[in-house]
Amino acid sequence: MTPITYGLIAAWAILVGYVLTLVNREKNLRREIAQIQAMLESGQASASAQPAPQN
Amino acid sequence: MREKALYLIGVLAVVLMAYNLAEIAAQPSEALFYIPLAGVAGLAAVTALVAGIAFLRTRNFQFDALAVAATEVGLAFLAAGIVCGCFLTHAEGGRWWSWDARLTAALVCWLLYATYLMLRHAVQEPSQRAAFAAVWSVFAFLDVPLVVATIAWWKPAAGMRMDWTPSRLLNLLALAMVGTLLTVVRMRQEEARRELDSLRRVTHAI
Repeated sequence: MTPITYGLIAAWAILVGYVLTLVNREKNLRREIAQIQAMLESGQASASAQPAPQN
Repeated sequence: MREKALYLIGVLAVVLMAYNLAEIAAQPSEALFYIPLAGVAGLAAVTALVAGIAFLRTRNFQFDALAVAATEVGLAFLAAGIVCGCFLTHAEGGRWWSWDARLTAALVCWLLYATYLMLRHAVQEPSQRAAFAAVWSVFAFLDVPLVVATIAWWKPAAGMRMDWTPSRLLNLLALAMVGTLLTVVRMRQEEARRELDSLRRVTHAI
């Protein structure tokens, strides 16, 4: 293999590394969205479980 | 529809690169991969500049998301190009870094755009962060013509052609497609992150 080929492999490794960070960020985003959804749903459930105020 | 278009761009890019690899194998002088990589980084810098100016004019956060996505993708491509350049320098003179005008100008450009991302992390308020980042993006772009000029002024060693051959143009097209794909993905993530932050503020308020 020539040095240029090694350079080519190194350049692709950097690009693949960047794609992996994007995939990781996507996973984190999905997890955080699921957490907030769960938080909102539990908030709604507790609000509906409370008795309505009597006047 | 947008998803299908993105998949199509990805498949086309892979086909073009596979075709181009076969051409490079037949003609190794075409393997100067860093020229198309730097070309895509330049296109990303132009996109970030246009998006930054558009944000300053309209205050539309979609332009801010586009600017940060293009800057980040451009940085990744420029980093790959600089590393490719290091390998080439090593092949020519046995040293990994030569402080020649082309590599140094590219490194300065990379550092300027890396500062853009650091600036974004430093400012908390979203509209202030986007405005500061857009102004920095315009400032950082001033270095891009300098990088292009150094490539034109400081000619490389004899026998190494730096011009745009059809093979390199094809490579630029394929890499630009990959860059577009990554920019769209990153832009969506940035928009989702912004919505998530506003949702989080709402839930804390509740």
